[in-house]
Amino acid sequence: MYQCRPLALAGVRLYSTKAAHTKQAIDRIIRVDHAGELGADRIYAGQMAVLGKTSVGPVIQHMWDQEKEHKAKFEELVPKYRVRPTVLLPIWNVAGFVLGAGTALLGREAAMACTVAVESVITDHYNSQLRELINLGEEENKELIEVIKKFRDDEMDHHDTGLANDAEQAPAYTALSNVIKTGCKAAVWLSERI
Amino acid sequence: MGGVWRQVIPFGLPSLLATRLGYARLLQTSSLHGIAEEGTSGPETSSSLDQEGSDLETDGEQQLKEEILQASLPFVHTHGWSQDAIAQGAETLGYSSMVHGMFPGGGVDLVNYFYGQCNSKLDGSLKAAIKAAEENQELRKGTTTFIAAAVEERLRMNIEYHDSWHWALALHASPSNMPKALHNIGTLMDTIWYHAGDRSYDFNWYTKRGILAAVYKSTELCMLQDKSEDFQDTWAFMNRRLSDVHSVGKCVQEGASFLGGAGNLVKAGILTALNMAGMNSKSRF
Repeated sequence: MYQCRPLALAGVRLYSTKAAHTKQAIDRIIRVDHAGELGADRIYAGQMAVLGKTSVGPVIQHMWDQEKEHKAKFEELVPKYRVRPTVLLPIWNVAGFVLGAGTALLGREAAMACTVAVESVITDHYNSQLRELINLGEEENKELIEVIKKFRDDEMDHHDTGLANDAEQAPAYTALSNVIKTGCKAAVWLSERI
Repeated sequence: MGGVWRQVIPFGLPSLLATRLGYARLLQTSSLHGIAEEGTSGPETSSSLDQEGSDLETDGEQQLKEEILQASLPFVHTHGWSQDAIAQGAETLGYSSMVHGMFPGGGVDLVNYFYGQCNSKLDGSLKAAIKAAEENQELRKGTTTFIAAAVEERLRMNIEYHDSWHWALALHASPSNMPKALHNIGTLMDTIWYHAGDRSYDFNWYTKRGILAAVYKSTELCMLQDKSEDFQDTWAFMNRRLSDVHSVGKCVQEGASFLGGAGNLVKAGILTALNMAGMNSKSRF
């Protein structure tokens, strides 16, 4: 989990190895969360572009508004913690829209299935980040922990909303869900590092 | 042969144990002075304590390495950025010159240490400048002026080692040292841009730092062969590069607004055509 580079001999000298570990972990966490919220924003944008005028439009709009709030919060945290944003941002921009619009074209149930799959990966991911942050120091990272907790609760809410809106009636639900989950996990892995 | 060893080992083991216990007892007595209390405690059971214990060890080692490198810097003038300079520095601190084995990279570790130290100094100085500008409005500078001053300040820190700086750059250019070198310049660019007021969170983060890195590197290379009074030629070169960047940025902006205008024109043309063909009716769908 921690890279063991001698950070004190490159760039800027940090006063302790623990501080270096913490900075690296927080760097990764904020980078991948920012990328994730941007992706989610674009997925909902794609879904709204196709399903905006249907009966499920208001539901998607509500979830989209919450994702916009999340994205704005992380856009504030990226410069605050001096985090490098992921270089793949333009790719996630396009890929998110394509995923949202693509699943929406398969029907409203498929769009909901996409939401359920993405939100379940994101919820697990936030939970493991919370564990990592609490391990690194609950008091020092209080702000970040509070933010991620609230966002995790919102994402769980979206997951349940998706299920309540007939996500499981989507065509090839299991296959679709697995493909999207794998794609999300790959995106998370890449954004953490690049 | 085996027989001899079988006789020696029973003697060897107790004496080995005795020295181990004796050492522990020595640590116990010295704990009266508050030193090395960790040595006498039992094996740590919690993994976070293990991490903390090994972190403290690493911290101690880092501090030692930094002390040695700091002491080696004066020897760069005579021995260059090499293991010899590190060995000399270690000797002034009272360590054996063999301690240069702690630095497998050799001279490049010294270069990286010096680079990091300069970056930290610049960070502190820029923070102080920002604070002073907050209190006194007159000291506030425009972004380009701030960046020019920051780059000049950072390059002036290299003047002390100007004669051997080409050696340092050559070490950085080697492929095995490249990742750390890129990390160094990346941190430096981030420091300068952050204090110049950049709070971007998207791809602009990369374009801004990339452009400034190109300006900084070219200025650094120009400085290597500059023989003018107080490096005036270098600062003039840097200002020309920064104004180039400025004019390219303006060109891009103007190009974008031109394209926007042209796009609007094309849209208007298409709408007119659709209207004329009677196809522009929203109630069709």
